[in-house]
Amino acid sequence: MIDAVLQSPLFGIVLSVGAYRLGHKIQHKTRLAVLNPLLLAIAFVIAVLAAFDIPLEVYDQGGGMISAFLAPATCVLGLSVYRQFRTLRKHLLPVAVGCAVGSAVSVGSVFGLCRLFGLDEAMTASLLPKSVTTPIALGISGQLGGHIPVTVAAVMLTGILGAVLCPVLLRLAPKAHPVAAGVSIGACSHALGTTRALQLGEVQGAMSGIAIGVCGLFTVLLAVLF
Amino acid sequence: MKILTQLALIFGLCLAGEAIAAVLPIPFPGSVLAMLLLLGLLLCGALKERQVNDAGGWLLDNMAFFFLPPSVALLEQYQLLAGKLWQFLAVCVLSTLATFFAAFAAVSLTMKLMQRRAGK
Repeated sequence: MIDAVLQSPLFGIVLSVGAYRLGHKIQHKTRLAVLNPLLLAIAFVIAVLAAFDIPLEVYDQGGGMISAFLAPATCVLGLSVYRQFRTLRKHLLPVAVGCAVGSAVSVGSVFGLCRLFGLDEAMTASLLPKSVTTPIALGISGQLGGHIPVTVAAVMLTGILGAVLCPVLLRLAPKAHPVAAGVSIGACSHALGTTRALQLGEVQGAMSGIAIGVCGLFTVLLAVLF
Repeated sequence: MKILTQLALIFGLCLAGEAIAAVLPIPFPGSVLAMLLLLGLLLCGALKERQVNDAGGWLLDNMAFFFLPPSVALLEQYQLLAGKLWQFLAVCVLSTLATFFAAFAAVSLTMKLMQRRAGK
């Protein structure tokens, strides 16, 4: 009976939605930024898989179907940018400067910190593109001779960090311009940070979305230097 | 039917993005190209906002959820970081914060400079 349930890809989907809903409920009750719904949901899914000794491949039959929506979700950021196009056109220069500086500082700081902590070339190459969206990061990491799984881990961790920390940091600057908030979230934590930026407001979400693409482009160009 | 059509339209744009990415000389993701494609079509009026609004809104509202399975899959990769875990974490945390502050300062400063110029 249990096998019949586990064989269905619906298992992974139901478990994911359940974990995500629970995460949302806890976030709603506690209102603590650290208790990010996604972070909680990851913990719940891992806990269930571990407790019942369910292999990752079983979960991933359904999980893979959910991941297939990542590209369409990135695509429709074009819709949110369109809705805010007037704001973007008005602030084109600040957005471009912010993305350029953000990309440079991201790549530069990773390089410096890796040197400081004595990490080797391959590890440095894996971490360099960590602030950009996964597909671009993988391309850069592969080109520079990095470990692909380490890059995926770094990109995900960076995204979660951005989603959790940025809204907290922004509370320290209540008068901050929404464009500055959006661009900085997108520049440091790609689409995952953008999920939080969208909740802060339409302008923040759209600017964060545009920063994903622009920072990705800048980082591809910067990576040529290494 | 409306949602199905809209989803298929968005999926189609993603496929077009992948096709363009395959012929580009630099690694640039198809999904980001699809985003630019959608923006372009909306701006030139070939596509109306209402033609993607429902499915698009649904995808945007639930965006974080789609990241759940790939995050869970990372569980199996932790041994790759054996012995380097704290360095890995420190690099991620510190550079994410540095990037955030730098981008934030750059945007705010540029805006202020432009305002001052406009005021003169």
